[in-house]
Amino acid sequence: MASEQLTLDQLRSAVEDGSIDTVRVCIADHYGMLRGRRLVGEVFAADPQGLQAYCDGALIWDVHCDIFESTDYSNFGTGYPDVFARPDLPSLIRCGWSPGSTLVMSEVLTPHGERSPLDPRGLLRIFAERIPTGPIAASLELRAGEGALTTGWNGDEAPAFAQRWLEGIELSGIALKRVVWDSDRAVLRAELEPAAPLMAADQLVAVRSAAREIGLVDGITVTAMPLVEASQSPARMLLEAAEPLSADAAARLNDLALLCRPLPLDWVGAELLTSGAELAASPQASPYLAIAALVSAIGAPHAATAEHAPSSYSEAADQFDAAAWTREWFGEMFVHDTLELARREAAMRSDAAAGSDQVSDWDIERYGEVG
Amino acid sequence: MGGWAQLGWVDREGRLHTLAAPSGNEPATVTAAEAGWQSVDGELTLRPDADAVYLLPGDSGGKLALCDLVAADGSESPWCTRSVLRRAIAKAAAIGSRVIAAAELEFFLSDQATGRPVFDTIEQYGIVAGERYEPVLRPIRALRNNGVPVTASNCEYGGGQFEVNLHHGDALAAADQIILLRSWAREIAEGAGYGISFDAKPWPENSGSGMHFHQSLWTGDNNRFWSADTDEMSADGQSYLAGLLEAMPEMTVLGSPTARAYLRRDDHSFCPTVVCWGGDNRTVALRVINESEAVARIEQRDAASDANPYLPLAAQIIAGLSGLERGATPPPMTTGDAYSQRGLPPLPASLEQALALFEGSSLATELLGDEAHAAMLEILKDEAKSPTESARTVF
Repeated sequence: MASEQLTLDQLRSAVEDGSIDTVRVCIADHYGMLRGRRLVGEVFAADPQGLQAYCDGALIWDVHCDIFESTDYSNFGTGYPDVFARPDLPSLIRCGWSPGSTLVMSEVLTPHGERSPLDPRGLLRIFAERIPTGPIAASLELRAGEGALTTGWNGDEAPAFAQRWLEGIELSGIALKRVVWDSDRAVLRAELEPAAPLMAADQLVAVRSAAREIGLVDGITVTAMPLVEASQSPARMLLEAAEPLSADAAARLNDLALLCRPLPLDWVGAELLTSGAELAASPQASPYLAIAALVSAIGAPHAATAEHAPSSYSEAADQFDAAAWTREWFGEMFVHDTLELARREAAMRSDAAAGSDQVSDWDIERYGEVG
Repeated sequence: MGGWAQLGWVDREGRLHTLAAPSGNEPATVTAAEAGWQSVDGELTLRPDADAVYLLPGDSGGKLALCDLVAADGSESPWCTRSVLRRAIAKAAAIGSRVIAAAELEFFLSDQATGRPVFDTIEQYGIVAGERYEPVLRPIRALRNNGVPVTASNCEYGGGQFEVNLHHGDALAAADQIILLRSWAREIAEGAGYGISFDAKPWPENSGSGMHFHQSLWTGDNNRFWSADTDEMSADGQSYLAGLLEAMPEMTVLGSPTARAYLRRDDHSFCPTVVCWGGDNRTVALRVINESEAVARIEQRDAASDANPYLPLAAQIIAGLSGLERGATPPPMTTGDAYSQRGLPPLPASLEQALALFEGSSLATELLGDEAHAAMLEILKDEAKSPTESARTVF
C-alpha cells in the first residue's frame, strides 16, 4: 500500500463538512518532537501557506524545552526571535489516532525568508535533494505498558494499545507493513513501507507521536527510551537504505553517530551502529537528523575522520566535533549548538550521578517523554 | 428587547456578568458596587450594544448582547470600563483612524482535585502533550462559531500553561472577545473536569500568564504604521511607539492590577521589566513587527492575563495617540538582551510602585476621568496591602 497524503482539496471539503476541525502546523525540534499550534481548520484552509511564528529557541532547546545561553543560534542575547513555519503541503496527513485532526509539517524560515540553519527537517530536505539514495525502510520500536515498563504486557498477545496504534497509523494514510509486539524484548515495533527520505522521516515522527498521544489519552505509559533497565536489549529506530552501506559510508556514519543516538541513554548497552544496509538509531533520535546522517554518509565525498565507531556518548560527541566535513555539510552553527546540547546533557547526567552503564530514576524522569 | 436572550456586562476587574434580557421596556440595572466600584453609590443602566451580539455556547441558539453601563438618563458613566475603551477609540476616530487590535492570551489548566497544573514539565508548542487536553482546547477553539475569532491554541512555556490566539479586529471587539473567551473557557474547562486560571502568576515557581496586545492604526485601507519607503516604521508609527513607551510606567497598573501580577515581572521571564522597544526580540517591552503593510504593528507585552482588557488597551491607545499628536520620537531600538542592559528606565516592580506613578498621571486622569481615577486608586491601594501569596483569584 502506498502512503496517501491528504490533498488541500480534500482537507477543504472535510473542513466544510465538519469532519476535520483542526490542523496542527508543526515543526520538529532537535529530537524530532512535534512542536506547533493547533489551528482552527477553516483558518488553515483559508490560508494554507500562511506563516506561523514560533520562538526560534524551539530548534535548540533541550529535551525539556530548557533554553540556555551557550548556543549560538538562540539565546537571550539574540532575543529569542521568531522563526516562521511555512506549511509543506505535501506532508499533510490525517491524524488517524485523533479524529478531526490533521498534521502538516513545515519549512522553517528566518525572518528574511531563508531556511533556518538549525531546522532538522530543512537539513534533511537539502541532503535528500542533493543525494539520490532511493527509499528508506524504517521501523520504530517503543516501550509501552500499563505499569512497569520493564515487562510491558504479559504473554505473546498484542495488546489493545498496539491495535489502536496500528489503526491510527493506517487511518493516517501512512503505508504500514505491520505492528509487532515483541514480547521477548518487551517492545512494540511499527514497520513502515519504504519511502523517500523526507517522507520516511515525516512518517516516523507521526508514528512516534501517535503512540505517545494514544498512550497519554488512554493512560498507557509509552516511551522512546531505548531501555528502561540496563539488562534489556535496546529498542531501535532501524533505518534501512536501498543498498548495503559501503565501508566509507559506514565510516562516515561513525562521525555522525551523535545525530543517530543523541542522548546519553542511547549509549547504554548500545549495539552496532550499522550492519549491511541498516543504521540502528535510537528511538529517541530525530528521524530527520538520523536519516540526514544516513543520506549524507551515503553521498558525502569526504573521508571519515573517525577511525572506529564511538563507544560512548562523549566519544560520539568528540568524533562529531573532530570531523571537519560535518561542518561543511551541516553548518558550523548546527554542529556547534548540537555539541553544546550534548555536552550539557552529559554534564547534567554526570551531576545527577546517573551511572554510565545503568538506567536510573533520573534517566527515566529526564528521558521518559522524549519523542 | 433586541432578540437576545442574555445581557452581558463587565465589572471593573473585567469579569463578565450575565442576566436574562428583560422582557418589557424596563431597563436592567446594576449598582456601581456590583460593578466593582465599592465606594461608589448609585445604579448603572445596561445599554445593549447591537454591534456586540454573540451566539451563546451550547444548543440554545440564544444570543448575548454586551452592554455599556450608563447613567439613568442614558449619559456616559465614569464607572463603565468598556466606555473607557470606547472613548480612546473615538479619539482615534477623531483623526480619521481605526485601531485594529488582537490579543494572545495565556492561562493554566489545573487538576481540580489537587489544584496543581495538569502537568509540571515545560511543553512549549508540544503537540503530544497538548492532545490530552483537547477536550478543553478544541471547544475553546470552536468558540469561533460563537463570534470569538479564535485562530489557534498551543502549549505554552509553563507546566500546564496554554495560549490561545485571536484574530485581529476592531479594538472594542478585540477586548470584548477576551472577556467572553475567559468566561466561556472557564465553563468549558470546568465542564470537562479541569480548573482554569488566568491569574498573572498562579504558582510562584511557574511561568506567569500574559495578555499581549498587538495594535495598529488604520486610515481606510492604509496602515499608518507602515512605510513602503523605509525598513523602519512610518513616522506615525514611530510617534505612536514613543507615546506608548513614555506612558508605560504610569499605566502599568491597568495591565497589572493585582499584587501578584508583579511576581510575573521578573528578569528573563519574557515579561518586560524595563521600558524599551525592539524588533523581533522577546526581551523587550514593545515589539515592532514591520514586514509588510498587512502585518505592521506594535506588540505590547506587559499586561497580565487577568487584567480587564478594556483598560490596558484603552491606555495604550491614548498613549500612542498622544505620541502621535506630539510627533514624539522614540529612543533608539534596543538590541540583544534587554534584561541585562543598564540605563533603561525601569518598569514598576510592585503594585505600590505602579500606583505611585498612576496617582500622578495626568494621562490616567484623562483616560478614566477624575472620579474613576480616584476610586481606582483607593481600591488598588487596598489591593496592594494584600500579601501576594494570598492575593485573590480574579479569574
